[in-house]
Amino acid sequence: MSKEPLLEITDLRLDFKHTGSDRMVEAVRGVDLRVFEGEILGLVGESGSGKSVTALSITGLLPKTASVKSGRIFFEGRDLLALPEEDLRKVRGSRISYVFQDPASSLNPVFTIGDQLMETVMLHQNAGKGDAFDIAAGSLKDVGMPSPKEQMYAYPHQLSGGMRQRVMIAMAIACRPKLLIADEPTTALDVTVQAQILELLSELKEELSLTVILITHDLSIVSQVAEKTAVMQQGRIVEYGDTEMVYRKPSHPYTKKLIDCIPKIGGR
Amino acid sequence: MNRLTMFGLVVVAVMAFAALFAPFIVKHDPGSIDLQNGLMPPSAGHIMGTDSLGRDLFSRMVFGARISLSVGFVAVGISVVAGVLFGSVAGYYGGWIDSAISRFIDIMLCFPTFFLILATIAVLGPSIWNIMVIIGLTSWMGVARLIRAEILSLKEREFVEAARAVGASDFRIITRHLIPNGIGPVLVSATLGVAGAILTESGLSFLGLGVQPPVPSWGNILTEAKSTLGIAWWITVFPGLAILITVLGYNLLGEGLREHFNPHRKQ
Repeated sequence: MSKEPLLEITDLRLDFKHTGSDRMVEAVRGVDLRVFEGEILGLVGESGSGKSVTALSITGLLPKTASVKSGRIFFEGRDLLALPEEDLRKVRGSRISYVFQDPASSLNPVFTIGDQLMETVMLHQNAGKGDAFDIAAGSLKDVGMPSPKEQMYAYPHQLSGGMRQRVMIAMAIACRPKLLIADEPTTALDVTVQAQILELLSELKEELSLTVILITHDLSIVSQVAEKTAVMQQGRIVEYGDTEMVYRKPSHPYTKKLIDCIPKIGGR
Repeated sequence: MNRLTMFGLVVVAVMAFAALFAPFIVKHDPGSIDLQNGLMPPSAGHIMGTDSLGRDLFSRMVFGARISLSVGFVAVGISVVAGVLFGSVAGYYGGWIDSAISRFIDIMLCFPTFFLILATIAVLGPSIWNIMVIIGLTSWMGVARLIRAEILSLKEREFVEAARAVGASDFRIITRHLIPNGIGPVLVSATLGVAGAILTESGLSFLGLGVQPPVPSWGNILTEAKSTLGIAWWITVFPGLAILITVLGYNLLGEGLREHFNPHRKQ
């Protein structure tokens, strides 16, 4: 494949300051990752393997205790790690956006979802209130919210978990970003809703020519929607390739273990 | 809403109404002197009687409510603005900024407030604006600590990270996402603060360092009353009762609000 990658991470290393001492803990140890336009990349790994911090470091959202030791993150021809905070803020939400794990706590409880969607739109686009309302309502429609205009006035607590996650996705795609990073988007949801959200992500990918990084600890989710799969363990990428290949012929023993973890009905 | 909160609300509403519409309520000019009718006990013409200069006490009380309540509100307004500003910055940024602001709060709390106010007024001179500003600037520390504590816990919530992930600036996160979520306890403390400010103003006026005669305030009506205490009980009792009931009303309303915002309250 000779296509230019949309996002290219080279030799990313991250340190975490150990609380209570000056010791540094290396959380990410030389990650190389390429994401091509229009694909869904599944990033799999156990808790603490460094998949979430890798994703957060892309737009500089790391917690204060973490620091980037080395590496480059190229996106649309710019090294994001070298960008000043002001420019990064413009990238966040408009070019690269996130969907987080827990939709219940990712929405501000005191504002309507319409307010929050419009805020995102108005942060990045030169839109007046009326235009922002239309864009926000359109975005809710994109994610399959029934009667989007009425739902604009709903408060987060009035919606179900699946609906809230749809709102989060609507917020993420409202400004038509290139790259959507979904960090465990279905972990807090039950299985049927999980399937709907995954289906929605695949649909949006087609309709809006999104590129998606799907972070999860569940290999079975990746196998449903992702074209490419990367497996992380202890801060390194231990396996990367087409999902089919990774799934059928895992080369790394850790990947094999992960695959064995997927329960199969009726035993093997 | 329980009965005590209701009582507080009614008191606050009645006093606010009296203060707002003072000129339409009273029959007499609060400043008009009628020496022949001085020290008249309460009667149909003067329902709270007259003071030693023959001024209608009821009129002076109603106009005094205007002064006392506006001192309370403006002073609390200043203290809430200052407290929210310092508290939210300290809570959000943490680190040395937090340490600096918190130590400053500790230092401010070390001063005996009333004497600080007395000293400042002795230098700047007593005027109603000075009193408002000084009461405000010596009472913001509690608000600052409240909002700081709220923000410390709120800023770890995921919606803050989500806001950052859609490109919101620090200023936006603080003003749009953190303060509206943490303002509940501040409203409670502000309501109680109005009561405190009214008391402080009355105290200052009683000592002659507050609102200056002939402008009536509940505190300085009391001051003038003390020389005639033995022969004219009404001049002491009515402003005293007004202060008592108003402060009680604000405190009860504040307690009710606290109960309302208490997450553990039974539905």
